Amino acid sequence: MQSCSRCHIQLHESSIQCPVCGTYVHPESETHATRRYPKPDYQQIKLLQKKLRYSLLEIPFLIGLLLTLLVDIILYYLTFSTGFFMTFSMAFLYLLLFPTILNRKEIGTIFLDYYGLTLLALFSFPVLFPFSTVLFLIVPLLSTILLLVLFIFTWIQRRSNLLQLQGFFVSIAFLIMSSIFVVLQPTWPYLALSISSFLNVIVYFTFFREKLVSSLSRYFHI
Amino acid sequence: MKIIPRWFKIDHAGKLFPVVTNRLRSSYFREAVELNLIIDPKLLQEAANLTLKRYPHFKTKLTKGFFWNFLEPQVQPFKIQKEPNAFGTVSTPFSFQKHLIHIFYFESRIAVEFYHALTDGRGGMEFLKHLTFTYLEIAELPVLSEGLFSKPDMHINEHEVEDSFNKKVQKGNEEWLPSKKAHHLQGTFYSNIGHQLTHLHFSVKEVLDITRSLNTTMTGFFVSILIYLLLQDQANLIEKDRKPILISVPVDMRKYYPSKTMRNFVMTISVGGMYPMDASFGTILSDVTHQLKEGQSVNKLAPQIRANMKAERMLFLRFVPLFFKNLIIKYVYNKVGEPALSMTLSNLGPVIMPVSTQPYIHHFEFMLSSTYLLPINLGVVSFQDHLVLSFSKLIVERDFLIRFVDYLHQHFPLHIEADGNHWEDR
Repeated sequence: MQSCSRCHIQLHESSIQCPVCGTYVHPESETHATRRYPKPDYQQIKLLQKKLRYSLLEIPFLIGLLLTLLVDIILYYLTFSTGFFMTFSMAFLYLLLFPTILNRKEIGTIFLDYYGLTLLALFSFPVLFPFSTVLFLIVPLLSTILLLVLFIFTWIQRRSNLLQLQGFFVSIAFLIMSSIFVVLQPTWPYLALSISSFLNVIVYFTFFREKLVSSLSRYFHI
Repeated sequence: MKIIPRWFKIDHAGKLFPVVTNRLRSSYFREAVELNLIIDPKLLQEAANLTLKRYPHFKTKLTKGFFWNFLEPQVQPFKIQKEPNAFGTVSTPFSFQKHLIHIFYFESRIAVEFYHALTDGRGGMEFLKHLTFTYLEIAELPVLSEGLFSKPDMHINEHEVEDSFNKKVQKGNEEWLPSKKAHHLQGTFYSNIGHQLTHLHFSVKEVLDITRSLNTTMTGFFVSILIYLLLQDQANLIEKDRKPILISVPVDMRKYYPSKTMRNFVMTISVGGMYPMDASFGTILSDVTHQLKEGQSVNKLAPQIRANMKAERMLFLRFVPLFFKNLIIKYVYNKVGEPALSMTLSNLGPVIMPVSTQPYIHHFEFMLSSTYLLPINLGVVSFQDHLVLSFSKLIVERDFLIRFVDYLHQHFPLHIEADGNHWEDR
């Protein structure tokens, strides 16, 4: 066994340096240092760096989003004919790409994010842009499609309780939202959304009742 | 027998960790065993799978609920990894695909890293012991459980996953201990956040001979040395800048309540205080021994547990959303929790393994993670005649460790061996 010339403690055979004071066991080993342990696996650190890179990618995307919004607004005031479709699609792509695929959140998260975006669109657009078609056509249609996709995903990934719970809540939220709009201004896209969200709620209740009760009990345990 | 739930509430003590975990407070601890044989990764993977099947609450992920966080089964396959020299580098317990424990191997060593919300040191050690035994069994070595371990195909029973704070500690008087800001070690943090681990190996017999001659316990002896050295740290301070030196000593509540839980069931006591600059080691030692004896009694600890649980049990606060609870817990912990401590010394005591397994085991190690305010912590564990003190250090400065070893050398006839993770060599 080797020992440290300063601390006078015994060191592991493969030690090149005293772990207490840092003195090198052999002076020459200072320049030819070898490790006993393997190089650290910086997988986690790499993951963080990867996330940082994604965040950097997000910046041009967000700038793009702002630019399309600007173009849409200009078009709106010049021609009164834009549907804000470009902006909405860009925002939707952003949600799909960054929070969900790259940061690997559960697919249900995007629906919650999307729902937030939809709400924002619903409440801000009528005030800012009274004749925008996004409110009356694109939002409910996209929502209906998304509800169906969510349901299919939930059906495929039955093991994911989080997804079911999210699906359940998103369906309820859409049902309430679309019902209000159907009453206020009956249009066929909102009617379609009401029906699809109503069906989703019923199906979630019927097929996943047991799991839903379990999910609700864990998410809301006190 | 009750059916074990498919998800788990986090126990009373564990609820704190997901809230306070950050870059410089990883809230992980690592326990390791050095065997007398080279580890076969394939067999270890098999042993890990079996042990995790036996203890399903370790194969979980941390999920955010509306009122509290909780643990739910992690469906991702568990993979053992080659042990890096890094410890506590990145802490992302809420990661969607991660497990809350990691099993490492290197040469003849098995190490398990636990997130503190899952279990305490004692629960973690039971897991490691079970894993080691299963590994030796799979390696077809002549080992017998001698009644210490159940078979891997046995299901976990409800007592092993219960929150003993709630189940065992009955209602009664409560006691809040006032807390003051304690003295903290200062230093330069490693640029790549991680711990330098230094293991000091002693003979249990040699240390016990000394502690018996000083009429103290092993914990009392090492705590006194830490306080004495921290007191020297204050030599350059003027009197009004000096703060009390308080060492946090976790106490295993299973000693006082008959509990088989593998979750957190530990309470800490703060030992030390404000000592005059010329206080001798003997004065500190007798005071620390007295405080440990007084503090480690159920009559002292139970009222503190009740006081800690009071807020959690209040119906109104239970319905406060997690976001607001997190803010409150974080604020309280950063104001009166950690600042009231100078260092942590956790002594797991002797590890008992079946006699037939002992020839294959060299020693055990227990490593705590350090934090911004407590940059050096100490874990102690012994196996047969092998005592290991593991310092986990987040700062570059080595002088505290050097003074610790020098003090032992100068005043006590102890044979010391050292090993570490050579964090600086990275």
